[in-house]
Amino acid sequence: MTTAPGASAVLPAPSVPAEPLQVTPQGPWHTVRRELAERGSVVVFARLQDWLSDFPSDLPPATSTATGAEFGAGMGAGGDSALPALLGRDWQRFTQMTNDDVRGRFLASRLLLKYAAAAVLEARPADIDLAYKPGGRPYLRGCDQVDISLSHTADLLVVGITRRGWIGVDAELSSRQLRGSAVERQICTPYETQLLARTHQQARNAALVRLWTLKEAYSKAIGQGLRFRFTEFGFAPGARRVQVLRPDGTPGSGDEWSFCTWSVAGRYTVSLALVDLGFDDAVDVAARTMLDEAMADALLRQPQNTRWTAQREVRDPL
Amino acid sequence: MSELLLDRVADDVVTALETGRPPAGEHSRLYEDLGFDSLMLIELVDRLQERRPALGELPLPDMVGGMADIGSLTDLLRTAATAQPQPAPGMEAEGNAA
Repeated sequence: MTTAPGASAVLPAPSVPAEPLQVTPQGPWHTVRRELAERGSVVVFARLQDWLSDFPSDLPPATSTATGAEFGAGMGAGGDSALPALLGRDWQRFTQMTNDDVRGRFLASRLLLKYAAAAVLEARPADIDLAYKPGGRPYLRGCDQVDISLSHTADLLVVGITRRGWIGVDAELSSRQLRGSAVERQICTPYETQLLARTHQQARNAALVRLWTLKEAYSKAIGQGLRFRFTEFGFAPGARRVQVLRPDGTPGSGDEWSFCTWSVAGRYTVSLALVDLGFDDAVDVAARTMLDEAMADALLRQPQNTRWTAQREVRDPL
Repeated sequence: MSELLLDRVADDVVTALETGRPPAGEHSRLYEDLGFDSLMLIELVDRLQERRPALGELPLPDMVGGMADIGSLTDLLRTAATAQPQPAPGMEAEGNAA
């Protein structure tokens, strides 16, 4: 899986990350860490299968009544699976998912997020405490200086990490049919509808997918998700400078916001929204630097006795 | 595939609203069990509005917190329906004829 040529990117502002980096459990995590150090933000993407291949393909389907302990005991010999420790507070929710596709994407996306966060925090994936705010926005508990965002669709996983402020990422299949759908009617501002009407039919669906991912990325960055009315803010399809607009097309955000859209792997549209809140002073975001001593000791305790962590540390010392 | 799923869920919810009975698959969760994503939620709300115009406008931001499973979505719509101002008889007849 490769990122499409740079020409596909839509005018990245200097403060936005370079093109998304493809990662597997093996890395390259040093590049991710360097990117965050140099640019303040990094976006990584991954192939679903690359993150599921180390787990038994015959994971028993969970039932709505299964508990985490029951599921864990059934997964591996002696119930010593590494997954409960790796997924942490997500474990129980994972065990109660009955849709195999959803379970696979949920698991792989959390693993990717934890590995990426562990790389930049110089911690172990199992020690990353992924938590959720009331609206569902994920965050790294105990590491407020680093903001994260997550998106997954089909076989693509995307994670954004920043130490500048807030970040939102969203990914969608570029071929997803939105033109003429309810989505076109329900997400567009009057100004966007007007501009889209002037767009050539063949380019209109691509413009809508880009709009959708930009709106989702922005809404995720501000912690609103689908609770934000997508018809009350917008973007200008095809504009050279991407900025948030009011429904009538007048500017609605300042220079602190940066947006970017990439074509990834030739079949996905990935958008980024990033707001610079001036958090850039903390160039060293290693967990030990950011946390007080007691918290660091608690989080970075000796490696847990999990096969997953041990294997990863041997293959990919962070 | 997703079109069939959307139609099925919309049919089940509308049938439940019309009969007053619990919907089929009441405890099926839209994301965890059925695999809905954000775009599918928008499509589902649109189908519900289309099939049950009496529900009035259904803004997704107001609904998304109550769409965990088919049962909670149905309950949410029942509440929304009772909160809607009742149309005058003539308006209802006109609405049915249109």
